[in-house]
Amino acid sequence: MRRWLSRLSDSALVLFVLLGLAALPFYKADALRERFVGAHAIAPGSTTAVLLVSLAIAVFSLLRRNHVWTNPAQLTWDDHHDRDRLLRRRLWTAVVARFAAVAYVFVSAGLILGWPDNLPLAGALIAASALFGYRWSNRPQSWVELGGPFLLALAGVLFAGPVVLWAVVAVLVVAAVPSGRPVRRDVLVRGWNARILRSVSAAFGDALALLPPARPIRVRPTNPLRFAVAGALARRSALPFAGLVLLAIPVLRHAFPVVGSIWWVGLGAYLSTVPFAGGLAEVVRTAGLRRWVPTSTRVLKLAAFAVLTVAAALWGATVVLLGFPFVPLAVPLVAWAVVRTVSRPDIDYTAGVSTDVGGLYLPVGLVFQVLRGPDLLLFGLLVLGYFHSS
Amino acid sequence: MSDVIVSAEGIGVLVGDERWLFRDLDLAVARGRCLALTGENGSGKSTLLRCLYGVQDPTEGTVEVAGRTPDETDAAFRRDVSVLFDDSAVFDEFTPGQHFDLLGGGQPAHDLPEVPARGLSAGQRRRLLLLGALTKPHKVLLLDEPERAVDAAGRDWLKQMVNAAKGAGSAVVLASHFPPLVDAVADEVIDL
Repeated sequence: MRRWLSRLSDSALVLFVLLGLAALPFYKADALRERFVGAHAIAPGSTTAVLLVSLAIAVFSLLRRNHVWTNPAQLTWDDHHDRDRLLRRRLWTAVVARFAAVAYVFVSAGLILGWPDNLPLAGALIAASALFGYRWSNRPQSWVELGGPFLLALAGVLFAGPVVLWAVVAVLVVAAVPSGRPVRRDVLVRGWNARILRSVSAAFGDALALLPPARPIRVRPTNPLRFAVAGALARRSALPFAGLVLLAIPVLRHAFPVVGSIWWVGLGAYLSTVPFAGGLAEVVRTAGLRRWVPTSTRVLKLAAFAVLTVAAALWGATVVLLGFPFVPLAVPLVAWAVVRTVSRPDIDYTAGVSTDVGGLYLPVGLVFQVLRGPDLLLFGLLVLGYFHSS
Repeated sequence: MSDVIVSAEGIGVLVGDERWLFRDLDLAVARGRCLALTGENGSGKSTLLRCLYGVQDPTEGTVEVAGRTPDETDAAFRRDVSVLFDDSAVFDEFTPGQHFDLLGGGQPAHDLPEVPARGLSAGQRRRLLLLGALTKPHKVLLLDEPERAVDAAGRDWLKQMVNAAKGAGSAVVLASHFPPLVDAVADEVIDL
């Protein structure tokens, strides 16, 4: 026992803490209900709505195709067996992991918010979503596939009734009929490069490396403002993610009404807007790209701020249509928090001084820089939340 | 000698505790002149260029470029000095024309296809980087092995471009492993 305990590292401690938190719904459901729902009445269908949003996120995540990769060295020297079998095995693992998470969310929501009347329908939704996600993530990427997660999220936002939800199940099953197609070598190599980037980013705690890559655009970047516009438009691949967040927050607000609207709007706008600031992040972090833009960093930040303000305002105006209040001050707050996040200096990994973060000792510089941006957002939302509620 | 725009006196760079990459080096490059740095791999050519751009401090000696101590973090210094280094990069999503829009120095004549840079070959990307360094308004031009990944025709074009930059009054310092380029453009050569 002592030998087993001596093998426990700091990270095991973090794991224990996380497992303890994850288990809370199973023995503290009443306390959690009190904390997140309070005296509000639980909207009927809340658990099903939470399930639908979870399914939308799980399918969306599968469609990122993180399982599609092969080491180029393997393609060069050891490419004589069936590639697809390995990919299918990885895809199964991805499906199981994501839908296990969905099952956990569903059970937790059931314990806290109450179980839905129609459990077979919930099962059918899970099965149809898994089938849709499995089949489409086994095919070349297409905009059409986004219909699946958006249909699920939309059904969640509308708190759709059983008839509509059975129709959603039918649509997902029918849409899953087309079979998969083999993946080409260039896609596998691209997947490998993305995987390496993800591992490096995770190892070094540098989430900014995961901002979406840019796609070609026609805008001529003749001045800093146009450069910022080009940077945002080039990352239009982040639009579906922003749309999904947009549809998720009304469900979460209904399910957990104690959390103020300003928090959902602020956090949602921040998450949705960050990817569009990838252009500024890239040019601030890469000296070789910085030399193409002979403008001061301050001007680049201001230009990005202007563009992100417009993006956050559009996002904020859209959530108004979903029943949220419009808080004008939240718009520049989110835009500036995003600029602050993406323009942080390179992460300082020197471990001169370390600090205890949930049982893990991390360099102070790393903690300080990772929090740069979210700190402004949280502080601003705290202030806005105070005035908004009083 | 008032035309001298790049100068160094007694500079040296120590690697580790006791190995000098180069030491007691003096150099002076006037407007419209070109200094070529040659030498085998690891002899310190790129390090010297980094010292001239203020990315690295020499262990000893003084350097002056465009009237000031090199400091790459200073926007005014960057406006005077154009570089092509190992870390130079292109925006994958921008076409060559969009890259030149960024520099604000007009559109140079070129035969690169107007497609996003991700669609260019390695040689074409290199040529785009060279065009960028040459097009950006500058007083001093620092080029680290500009001939790399460029085909025979491109190397001839490179000679013309560097000579054109000299003709326009630029002081050029380039590191090269390609003797025909050095012969065609250099007024002085330092073999490290």
